[in-house]
Amino acid sequence: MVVRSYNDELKYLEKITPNCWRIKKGFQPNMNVEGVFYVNNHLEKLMLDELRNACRPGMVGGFLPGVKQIANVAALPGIVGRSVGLPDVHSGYGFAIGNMAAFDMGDPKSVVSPGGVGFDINCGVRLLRTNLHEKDVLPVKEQLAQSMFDHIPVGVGSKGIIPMNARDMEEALEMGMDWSLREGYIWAEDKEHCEEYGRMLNADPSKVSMRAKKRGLPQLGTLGAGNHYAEIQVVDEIYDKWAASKMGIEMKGQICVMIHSGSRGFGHQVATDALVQMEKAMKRDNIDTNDRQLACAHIHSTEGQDYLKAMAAAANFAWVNRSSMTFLSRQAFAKQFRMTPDDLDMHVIYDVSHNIAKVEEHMVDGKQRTLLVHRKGSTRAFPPHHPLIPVDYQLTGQPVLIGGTMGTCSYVLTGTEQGMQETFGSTCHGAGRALSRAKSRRNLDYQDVLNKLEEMGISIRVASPKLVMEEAPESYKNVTDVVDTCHAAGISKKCIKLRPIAVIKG
Amino acid sequence: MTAFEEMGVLPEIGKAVEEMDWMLPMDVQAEAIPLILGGGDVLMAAETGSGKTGAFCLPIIQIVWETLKDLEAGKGSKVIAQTSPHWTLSFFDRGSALAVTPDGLRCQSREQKEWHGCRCTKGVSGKGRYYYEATVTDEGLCRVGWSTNQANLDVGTDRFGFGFGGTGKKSNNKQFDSYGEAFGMHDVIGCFLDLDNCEISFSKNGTHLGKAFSVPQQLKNSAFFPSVVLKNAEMSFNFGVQPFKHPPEKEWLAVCEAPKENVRQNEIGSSGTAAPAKAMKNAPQAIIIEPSRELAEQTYNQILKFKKYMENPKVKDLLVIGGVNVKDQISELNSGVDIVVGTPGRLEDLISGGHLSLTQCRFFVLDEADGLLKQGYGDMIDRLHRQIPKITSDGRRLQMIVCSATLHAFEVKKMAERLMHFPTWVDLKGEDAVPETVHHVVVMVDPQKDSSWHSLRRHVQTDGVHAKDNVRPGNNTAETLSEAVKMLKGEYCVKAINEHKMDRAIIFCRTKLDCDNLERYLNQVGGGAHSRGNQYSCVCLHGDRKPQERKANLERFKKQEVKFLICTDVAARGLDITGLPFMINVTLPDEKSNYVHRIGRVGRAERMGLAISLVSSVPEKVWYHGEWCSSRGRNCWNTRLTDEGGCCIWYNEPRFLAEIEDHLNVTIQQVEPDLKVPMDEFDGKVVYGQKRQQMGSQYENHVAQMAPAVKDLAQLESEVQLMYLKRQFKGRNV
Amino acid sequence: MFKRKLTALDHPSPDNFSVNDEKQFRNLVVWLEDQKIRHYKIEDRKNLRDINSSEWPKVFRQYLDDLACPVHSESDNSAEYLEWLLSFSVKLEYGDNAEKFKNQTSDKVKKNELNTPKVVSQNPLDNLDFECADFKKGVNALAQLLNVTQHPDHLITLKAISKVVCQRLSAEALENPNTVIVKGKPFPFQEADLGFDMGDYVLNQAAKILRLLYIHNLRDLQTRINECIVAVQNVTADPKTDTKLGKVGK
Repeated sequence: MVVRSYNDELKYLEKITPNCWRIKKGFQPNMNVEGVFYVNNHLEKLMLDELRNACRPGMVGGFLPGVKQIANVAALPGIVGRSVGLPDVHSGYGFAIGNMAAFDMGDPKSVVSPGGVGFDINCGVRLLRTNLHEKDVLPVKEQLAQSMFDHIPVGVGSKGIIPMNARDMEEALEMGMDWSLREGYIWAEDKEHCEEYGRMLNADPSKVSMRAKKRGLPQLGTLGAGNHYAEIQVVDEIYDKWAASKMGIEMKGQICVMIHSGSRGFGHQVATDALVQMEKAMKRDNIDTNDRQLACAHIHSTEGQDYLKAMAAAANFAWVNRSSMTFLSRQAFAKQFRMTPDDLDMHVIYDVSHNIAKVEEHMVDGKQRTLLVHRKGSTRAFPPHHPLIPVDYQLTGQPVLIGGTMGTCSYVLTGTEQGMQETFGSTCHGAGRALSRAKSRRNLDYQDVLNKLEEMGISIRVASPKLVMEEAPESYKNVTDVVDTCHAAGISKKCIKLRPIAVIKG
Repeated sequence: MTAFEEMGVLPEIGKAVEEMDWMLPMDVQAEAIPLILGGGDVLMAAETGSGKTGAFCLPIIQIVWETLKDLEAGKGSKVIAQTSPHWTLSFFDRGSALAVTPDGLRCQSREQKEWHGCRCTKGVSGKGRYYYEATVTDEGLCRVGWSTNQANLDVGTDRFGFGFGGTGKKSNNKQFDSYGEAFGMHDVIGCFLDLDNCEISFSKNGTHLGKAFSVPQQLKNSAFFPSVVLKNAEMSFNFGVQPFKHPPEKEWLAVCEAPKENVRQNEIGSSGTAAPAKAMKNAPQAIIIEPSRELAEQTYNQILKFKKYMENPKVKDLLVIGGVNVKDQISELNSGVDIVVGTPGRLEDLISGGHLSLTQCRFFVLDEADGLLKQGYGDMIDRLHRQIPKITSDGRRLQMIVCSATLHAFEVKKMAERLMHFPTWVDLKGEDAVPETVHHVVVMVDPQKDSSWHSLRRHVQTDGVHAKDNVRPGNNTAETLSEAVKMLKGEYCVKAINEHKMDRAIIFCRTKLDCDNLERYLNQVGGGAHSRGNQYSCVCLHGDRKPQERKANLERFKKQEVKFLICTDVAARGLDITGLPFMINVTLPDEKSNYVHRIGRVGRAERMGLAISLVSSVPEKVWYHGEWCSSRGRNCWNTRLTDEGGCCIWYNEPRFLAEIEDHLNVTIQQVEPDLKVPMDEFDGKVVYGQKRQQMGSQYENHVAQMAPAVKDLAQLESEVQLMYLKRQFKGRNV
Repeated sequence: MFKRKLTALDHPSPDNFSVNDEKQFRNLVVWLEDQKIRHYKIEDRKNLRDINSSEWPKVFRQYLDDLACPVHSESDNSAEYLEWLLSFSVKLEYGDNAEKFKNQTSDKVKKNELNTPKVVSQNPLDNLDFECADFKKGVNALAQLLNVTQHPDHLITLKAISKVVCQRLSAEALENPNTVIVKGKPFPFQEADLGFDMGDYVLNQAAKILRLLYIHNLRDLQTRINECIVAVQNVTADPKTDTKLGKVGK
C-alpha cells in the first residue's frame, strides 16, 4: 500500500455533491474504475479521520481505511461502473462492509470474490407486521419478550427447536424457503414477499464442504450472536403514507417484528473454503490484486462457479433460518395473545439480503450488460415497476429494511430510479461500525449499555451479556445519519421509521 | 482488517497471527473465540491440528491483557457495578472464599476450616421494622442476622453484629447463648429488625423465637445490613422481591420495601470500583492443564508466538512441568505470572506448596480432557476447581474451557455437568468415527497358519513372558503360540514397512518394554542404530525415557531425521504430527476409543493415510503390572496371572477387534499376511500422504435434474429485466 | 372419462361405460382384444374371454405383460390399465389407417364444417344481422345506458357490454353486490409514476391504465399460485417443534 501524506491523499478525493465524494483513479494502484462514497457532514468526518489516522508516520500498512478498501476493489479485473461505498461503509476483510461492486459477466477477466459477499452469507433482515398497537403490547411487554426468548434459540452455539437432521439440511440447502413451505412452517405469501422468492435456484449442496455442513447443522433455526437479533418494534413515523399502506402499515404505533440473522457458521465456512481455493486459482490464472485478502477467481472458472453454487446454498440456509424464526415468532405472539397468527395479521412485509452476490441486468454507459453484483453490507433497492420485485410493491418500489443496532431505531426505505442508475440498485444496510469490536470491548461497559436500554424502556433479553459491549450503539455510526444520507443522495427513499421496545439477542 | 479482528480480537494479536500465516480462522476458532470473548464456558471437541490451541489461547491472552490494563488504570471492576436498585448480597463485602451467585441471592462457602461471611448491598437505619428471610440450601454451619458495616463479616464475633446460628445459638460480641432452636437444611429463618423498639429477633419456619437482642443505644442510628456467615454451607435469601414463605405481620416491612430515607447503601463495591485487587504476584489469571509435557510445551510455544506484540503491559507466562528445576519455577512465579501452562503433577505440587495461588484465577482450561480423566486426574481437577473462587474479586465469573478429542465420553460429559456453568458445546466432530481420510485395515497374525516363526534366524526380542515356559516350535501349547505371535508381529511389522515402502510412520506398542524391543529389532534389521542407510531408523517415546530424550526424539522424528516413531498410547496423546502417511498398531488397544485416537494420527487435514493393525488370532499372554505390582513393572518378572496375584493376562485381541468394529459400526477390511492392500478398493489412485479430494455426503441432490428448468427460468428472468431496462431507457438521453 | 377414446374406437356404447363395474371392464378388455389389439391368436384369447373365471385377474396380468404394458399398479386399479389399453388401441387404430388420418389437420376439420350445409338456427339471436345500422344503434344505446364507453367497432362495444352485464348484472351479483363491487380506496393514478415517458399525455394515461391492469393480472396470478402452494402444503406439511431440543445459549 502506498503511504502518502494525508494532504497528498486528499488530492485524489473530490466532493461532487454535498453527499457524494469520488475517488479518482490512482488513489490506489491499478484502479480500473473510479470509486465513490456517500456521506453527510458527520459521516464525512469519520471517513476522513480514518484516512488521516492511517497516514500517520509510523503506521505500518496493516489496517486499511474504508476509502482505501473501496479503491482496492476498483482495481479488480472486470469491474464496471464504480466501486460504491454506502454511507455505512467501514473496514472489513478485503472488501469494506458497505461496498457494492459489479462485474461484467461477459468479460472473461471478470472475477467473483467471496470477500465481496462477506463471511455471513445472506445476512439479512425480515420484517413482520401485526395488527397490534403499542398499547396492546405495553402491558405484557416483558412476558412477550420472554416468550420470544423462550421460543427462539439464540446465542452462539445454541441449538434449534425445530428438529432438523442432516438430510433435512441437505434438502433445505437445495430448496431454500421452499423447504420451509413444504414442511408447513411458513405461509405461501411469505415466499412471495422475499428477495429471490427465498430460494436461489443455482444452489448446489454438493459444492459445500463437510466442514461447513457440520458447523451448520446444529445452528439451523437459531438466531446467533454478534450483530444478530430479533426485535419487537413500534412504528414511530411514516414518511410515505401510500407506500407504507401497501406494506400493510397503516398507523403510528403499529407493532412489527424484525429479525436480523444470517447463515451463521455455515456461511462462514463456505466463504473460508472458497477463499482458500481461490488463492491457489489466482496463482494459476495470474490474477493480481492489491490486497491478499481480495482473493478471487474468474467467474467462469471452476472455483468461481463452485463458490457461486455454494454461496447460493448458504443463502438458502439463511432463508430457512429466518423462516424458522418467523414461525417461532408467530407462535410466541399467538401464545401470548391467544389468537392465531393469521388473526394477528402477522404477514411478512419483506425479506432482504445484504451480503450476497447476484446476477442482474443493468445499464452501463447506455448499454445493457449482465453483471455479477456483489453486495457486502449493502441492500438491493430496485425501483417501482422492476420485474424482480413482488406484485404488491410494483408501484411503490422494493422495500429496503434497514436494521439499526441494538436499541436504536430501524427504517424501511423504498428503491428509486436514481439508485438503479447510480449504484446498480443498491443502498445501505444498517448502521456500520464506528468502533472495531476489540475497541468497543475496552471502552464500553456492558452493564452500562444494558442499563441505558432499560432506561429507554426497552425490554432486553441477552444470552451473552459480555458481547453486548461490542454491539452497543456507541460502537456504530448513527443509523439516522446513514439513512438520511441515502435519502438525500436519492438512492433510496425513506418510508417508515421504527423504534424497538424489546430486543432479543444472542 | 484481518478476519480474526472481525471476531473482536485485538489488532496486535491479529498481526502476530498473520505472521504465522493464519489468514483465516479455523472452524473451531471461528466458533469458540467469540464465545470465550463473550465470557461463557466452552466445551470443544477438537483434535490436535484443528487449531484448538489458538481457539482458546487467543481470547485468553486478550482478556488477560485487558484485565491487566484495567488494573493498571485503576479501573478495578466496572463490570458488575452493583448500582442496581435491587437488594442483593454484595459481591465485594464478603469473605474471599464465599461465592455469591450472579443474581446476588444465594451464597456458598466451601471452606471447611474458616468462616466466610457476606453483607447485603443495602441496609436500613433510623426507624421502622424490617424483615427478610434466609433459607439453608446446603448443609453446613451458618449464622444469619444483622450487622453494621463496621462489623466483622463473621457475624456476632464483635459487638456490631448480631447473628443466629444453625446450632441454636445467638451470637453477639463473641458471646454465644442458646436461643430458639437449632436449624438446618431447608429451614427458613426470618430475621426481624425493629428499629423503633431497638430489638432483633428471629423466627424459624414461621414460628417466632422471641427477642434475641436489644440494639445498644450507640448503634441505634447505625445502618444495619442483613448479614450471613458460613462454613462449608450454602444459604439463599429473599429480601422481599419474591413473596415470603412466612410473611410477618403487617407492621413489618420487607427490607426491599424500606422507604428511601431509611435505606443505606453498602459502600463497599457500590461505587463501582472494588478495592482494586492487587494483582498478587504468584496468582495467575489463567491456568491451562495439559496431559503431557510435550503438549504443555507445544501450547506454551504457541502462546509465546501469539503474544508477541502485546505490550504495555506485557503478559507473562510460565511453563510448569516436571523435569525442570522446581526452584526456577517458584522464583518465576514470585516475580509475577499471568498465564500458567502445566502438567497436573507439577501444578499440584506448586499449588499445595502454596507457591501458586488460585485466588485470581479466572480461566480454568483443560486441554485433552478425556486424556486427563483417563490418566486419573479427575479428582485433582475437582479439587483445583473447588479452590478457585467462582467470582473473582473484581466481580467476574470464572470461565472454564474444556477441549477434548471427543465430547461423547461419559466422564467428560459428567465432569462438564459438575463443574461448568451452562457450557456451550462446540462439537464439530460428532460421534466417534474414523475420519474419512484414513484407510484402516487389519491383518490377522496366526502362528498356526503362518509357520515362518519356526525358523526365524533372528527375531524381535520378546517381552519375556514365556521365558520359563519351554516354548519351542512343534509344541502346540497356548504359551508357544503366544510366543510365536510376538515373534511374528515383529516380522509383520517389518514386512508392512517393506511392502508399502513406508518412509514415515508411527508405530504403537502396548507396553514400554515392547517399544524398546521393537526399537532394538528394527535397528538390528536396519544394520545398526547409527548406520547411515538404516531403512528402519526409529526412536522411542514412552514414560520410561527421560524427558529430554523424549523431546529430542520427537524433534528428530518431526525433522524426519528418523523414519519411525515407536510409542505407547499414553505418550502419544495429542502429539501434533501432521500428514503422517502410515501407522502400525502392533497390538490393538483394549480401550476402543484409543483405536480412534491412534488412527487419527494419520490422514489429517485432508491427507490420506493408511493404518495397519496387527491382530493376533490366538490369545497372547502379556504383561499387566497393575497397582498391586509394587515396582510398577520395573524389574518385575512375575509371570503368574493377575488373578493369582501375578502380572500377566491373556490378551484376547479378536475380542477387542469385534468391540472396535461394533463401536464404530464398521467392519474393518482384512488383508492377507502379504500385507498388500488392494488399491482399487479405495477411490481411484490413492497415495498415502497426499491431499484428498473433497468427498460429499451420500445425499443425491436434484441439481442435475432441475438444471434445464433452472436454466430456462434464469433466461426468463434475464429477458424480463432486459425488457424493463429497454423501456426505461428508451428515449432517454443517456 | 374414456368416452372420447371409446368413441374414436367405435365402441358401441361409449357413454354408458363404467370402469368400476368389473363385468363391464372385463368385457371391454375382451372387446378391445378382439376388435382392436388382436395380440393373441384367436385360440389363445379363450382364457381372456372367460370373464367369469376366478383366474381372470391372473390372465389379465399375463395379457398386460405380453403387451409390454408399463403400468404396474399395486391395487388392481382398473382405470389405469384401461387408460393405457385404450391409448394403445387408439395407437394401433391410427397405425392401421395412418394414411387416412394423417391429413386430418384442424384446418381440414374446420373446412369440413364449413362445407357442411348451413342449418338455419331456430334461435332468433343467431339470425340477426350484426352489421346493420339498427343493430349498431341499439348497441350504442345500450352502451350509454350502462355507462360503457363506445368503441368505433361496435362489436367490441358489444363485448364490453356483455362483460358488464355478466359481471355486474347477473343474478348472483344482484343478490350479493359486495362480491363484485370492489371496495377500497381508489388509486390516485394521476399521481402514479408511469416509470417511463411516451411523449404524449394521452398515451401516458393509457399506458398507466394498462400498467395497472397488468399489475391486477399479476396479482391474480400470484394469488392463484399461492392457492396452489397452499393446496400442496395441505398434503406435505407437518410442522413440528420440540422444545426439548432447544437450548437457549448462555
